[in-house]
This record gives sequence, structure tokens and C-alpha cells, in this order.
Amino acid sequence: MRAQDSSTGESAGEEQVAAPTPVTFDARQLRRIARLSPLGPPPPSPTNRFADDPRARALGHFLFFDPRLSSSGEVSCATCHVPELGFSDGKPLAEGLERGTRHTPTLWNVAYQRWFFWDGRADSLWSQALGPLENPLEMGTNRLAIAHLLNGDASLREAYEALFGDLPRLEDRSRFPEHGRPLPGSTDDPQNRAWAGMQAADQEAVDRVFANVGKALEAYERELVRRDSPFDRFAARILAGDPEPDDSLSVAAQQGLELFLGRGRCTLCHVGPNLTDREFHNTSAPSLPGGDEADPGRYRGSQLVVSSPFNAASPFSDAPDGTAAQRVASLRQTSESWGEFKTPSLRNLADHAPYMHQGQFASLEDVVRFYSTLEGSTGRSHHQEQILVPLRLNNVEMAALVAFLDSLSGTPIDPIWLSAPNSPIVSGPR
Amino acid sequence: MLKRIVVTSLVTIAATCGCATEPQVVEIPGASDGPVAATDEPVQADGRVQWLRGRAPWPSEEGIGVESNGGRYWVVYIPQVAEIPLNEEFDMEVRVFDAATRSWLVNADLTLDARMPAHGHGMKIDAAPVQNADGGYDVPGMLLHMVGHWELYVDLTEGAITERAQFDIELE
Repeated sequence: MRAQDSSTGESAGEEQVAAPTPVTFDARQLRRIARLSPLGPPPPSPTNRFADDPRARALGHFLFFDPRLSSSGEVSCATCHVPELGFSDGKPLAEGLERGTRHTPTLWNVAYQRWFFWDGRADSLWSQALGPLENPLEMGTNRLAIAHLLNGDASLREAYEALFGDLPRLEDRSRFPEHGRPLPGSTDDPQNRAWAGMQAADQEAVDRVFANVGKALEAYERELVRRDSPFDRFAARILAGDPEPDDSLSVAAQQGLELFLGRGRCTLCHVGPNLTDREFHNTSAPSLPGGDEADPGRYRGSQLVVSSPFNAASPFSDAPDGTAAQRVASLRQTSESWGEFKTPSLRNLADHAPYMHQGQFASLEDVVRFYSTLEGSTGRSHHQEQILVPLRLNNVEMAALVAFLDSLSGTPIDPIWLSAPNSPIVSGPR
Repeated sequence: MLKRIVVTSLVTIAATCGCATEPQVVEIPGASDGPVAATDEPVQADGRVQWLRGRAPWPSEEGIGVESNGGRYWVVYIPQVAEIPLNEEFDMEVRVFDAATRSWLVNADLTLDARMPAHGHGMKIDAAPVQNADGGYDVPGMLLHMVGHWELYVDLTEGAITERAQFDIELE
């Protein structure tokens, strides 16, 4: 189903529609449009003082595509976050070393987020990057192995030490085993035993190397920004009072925008220049057949971020008393958040289907149809948020809404960021 | 971008304006020495430390004020921003006054929360009021993350009795 700029009357007996006409937005709608555009540059990342350092970006760019950051030597960040697939993977559920339980989220505009992962269990992009590295379903490595990798590769070592200072004396394997990481729930695990046998100061040193790897990865991911979409150009013209902005946005997309601002109720959650409130809601989307029907979502995620040794208030944060640290310290943990997942940005949707936290919906049409009918909805208890109602859109309206969503794809980024670099060391302008 | 807010009081204001610009004597119930001159020194009365100010704070000279549902307190909240922002942290101050004596109530057992009754949810953060040196309570990091109608609750507990001051906040 795609919107057309002409009458799309269907078979006799079904809805008859007039030729679409440009939308005239009133003052209230214009105020709401002004809230959605433009998208400025990514906000600062105070917990990572290397976030905008070109050297960190170069190192992170290299590491993102390096499969040695996995236990198998075959899985890199780019295995699941495929540049050609919108930095997702085109699959409902992520597949690293093994199949995961959630869909790989896109990395487009990830630097604008407030919380990371579908359940928000990380409060910074750099600490998020650490999760998949040690997740046995994803990359399955461990922080000691990563530290040894950096130490044993001359170019990585040079790139790391130029930025973060000297690595620990990792050659001493009695102090720094080849593999190890903390696993509080698995005391007999060999990696946990190796970690537990280390001196506290050595553990801290390795944790700092681990955190710095995340900070380098964040610096690269902050480049993955696409904005200045057809909608943004339309918004700029209409807010400037241009009497004929229509060639920036199709009439169908304008009608979709009108629905988005009004009867679609989309701006309850998809608000702000990145078209997400960056918080969590329960869409009651049906679980994928065979998927996790009892995913606690934000309920568990809030517990994990508060207890994370790498959160914004941790010793590894470069702003342990800043706003992000205060935010995680005051985070509410309540049963209301059961089954809630992060509101994704609606920018740049076109190249990273499927959609939702389990990739339940293959297309944007399926997403819009779900919100229109709530067919298959899992429902919510009376203790949970109650904001969804069936929108009861007709086919033309659904197509218009999809046309608007399609208009949110931003301009392409420099292709240099879409493939592996030759070196982790910055050389010349990047 | 800051948003326009529309705030209305939930409870009809019963107190009349007694605002004065000159220091005034204020009676403290239970004070053995009778009326006490308004000063900046803390005065112990009825087991509660009450600070007196040179100028009576009645009615609210700053912020939005409302009487608690049992009539014992006058509660004022003062956003530390020109307009309460949508989905961005902001700080505010809460001031609590004894409705009978018009004196500041400090060291109160005070909790603060906000909910959207139409949506059936509250804030994503727990507000943590902290007594400040001026007699009020600082509430940092408030976050109202959705457009629509919010209710702000300030609950004050003394012994077995809790009273609530409730405010309406509309975010557009």
C-alpha cells in the first residue's frame, strides 16, 4: 500500500475518495510541527569526554567492524548492525553467535537517545556498547580478552594509548588472565573464577580499558546521523510562511502529517525533533510466534541500569555528578513499566524493517494497521498506562500516514563511515 | 523548546490576603511567651521548628499556591524555569506554610509526585525534595514526559494525618 497523488477510489461499495488536496495547517498544528523539526546536531555526551575526539572516532570505527571482538572471531558489531540495512540486520530477532530475544535496533541517530537498548538498561551510548561484547548470544567475548587484543595488536595499542594513556602491564598473566569477567550469578564459571582471583586494582584497570573501548565505539556511532529529510524541508518552508511549500512534501504525506499531529495521536510518544520521547511505553504489540511473551522490558531494564557498574554515576563516567547521573539515581522502578519498551525514533525508517522490539511487523503498513485496529493486541492491565485506542483509519488514511513516515528519511552520510577502515589511527581529515 | 502551561488551583482558596510589606508579629500556637516578633531565628513550637520571616508570605508572592485538602497547610510550588518544559528535566522549589500561623513549615515529612490520570501513569522518576537553607524544599530533576493534563501532588504527614495539596498542570 503506497499513497498516490491521485484519486485512489477502490472497488464499488468501498470508500470513495476525492483527489487529495494540499493541507492547510492551523496555528496549533504549526506549533506542533515546530516541535518536530529541525533536528540539530547530537547533544553533548558529558559522561564520555572522548565522545567528539577524532582519534576516538577512528579507533571506534575500526573496532566496530573488527570480528576479533568476539569469542568466535567471526562476529563484529557490524554483523548485526549492518550499514546497508540501516544499521540493523533485516531480521525479526538478532543473530550474533546465537539468536537473541529482541530485534536489532537501528543505530541511525542513536546519539540522540536518553536510554539505550529496548529496555533502557544502559544510560549512555558507551556503556551500551559493552553489553553485546560480553553477551554470550551476541559477541561472547570478555573484557580481559579485549584488553589482551588491544595490547597484542600494535596499531590498536598505539591508537588506544595515544588517547587513553598506557595500557596496564597485561603481559603478566598471573595478574591478568587471558580470559575473565565478573559473573555474579555464576560463581563456578571459569571466567568468573579467573576474574575473582584478580587483585581489585587490576580488575579496576581492566574495567577502565573496557569502558574506554565503549567510549571509542560511541565516538564512531555519533557519526551515524541522518537529518534534513523532505519533511524537514517542508517544515522549514511552511514555518517561514512559504505560500507554496508543497513540492517539498507530497500531498499524501501532508495528509499523513495532519493525521500524525491529530487523530493519529502519534505525538503522545513520537515527539521532539528525533520523533521520540526517548522514554518507554507498552504498545501491547503481539509477541512474535515463538518469541518471549513475558518480556519484562523496562521493568527489568530500570533495575539493570541502576545497578550497572558502568552507569553515569559510576567511577568510569566522566560526569559522575551530572544530569545523567542524577537521572539514573532518581529513576523510578515500578510495576507500571512491565512490558514497556523504548519509543523508537521515526526518522530513517525506510531501510531497517522489520519493526518493534521483536521485529513483529514486517512493514510500516503493518505497524500503522496495528495501531489502527489493535488487532492482536496483548492488552494492558489496569495498573498500566492506558493511552492506546484503535485509530480506525481507512486505507487511504493509513497510506497517507505511511507516506509521511517515508518522508522522514534524512540525507545520506559520508560513505566512509559505512565500511571498515584500514587503520584505527586517524590520519588526515575524517 | 519551552511550552506554555495553564495552571489552575484545585481547591477554593479560603484564606484572605493578609500580605504586608513591613515585618509583623505572628502568633505561634503553644509559644509560652505569647506573640513572637518576626525574625529569622528558628522558634520551637508544638515540636515543630518554624522559621519566621520579616514579611508574611501570604498569599503566594511567587509560584502557584493552594491549600491542602484538610486546610492545615498552604503549599506553593515554584518552577525554576520560565515555563515547564515538555520531557526535559527542570528544577522547582516547594514551600509549605502552616495555614493557621502563616509561618514556614520546615523539616516536614513531605513527598511529591505527579500523574497523568487520563493515561494512568506517573512520572518516570522519583522526586526527592530536599530542605534548602531558605526554608523551602528543592525538587531537582522533575520530568513531565508527555503532553496533556498532569496532577502534581504534595503530601504532608504529621503523625497519623496526611494532607495533600494538588495542582493541575497542562502541557501543550
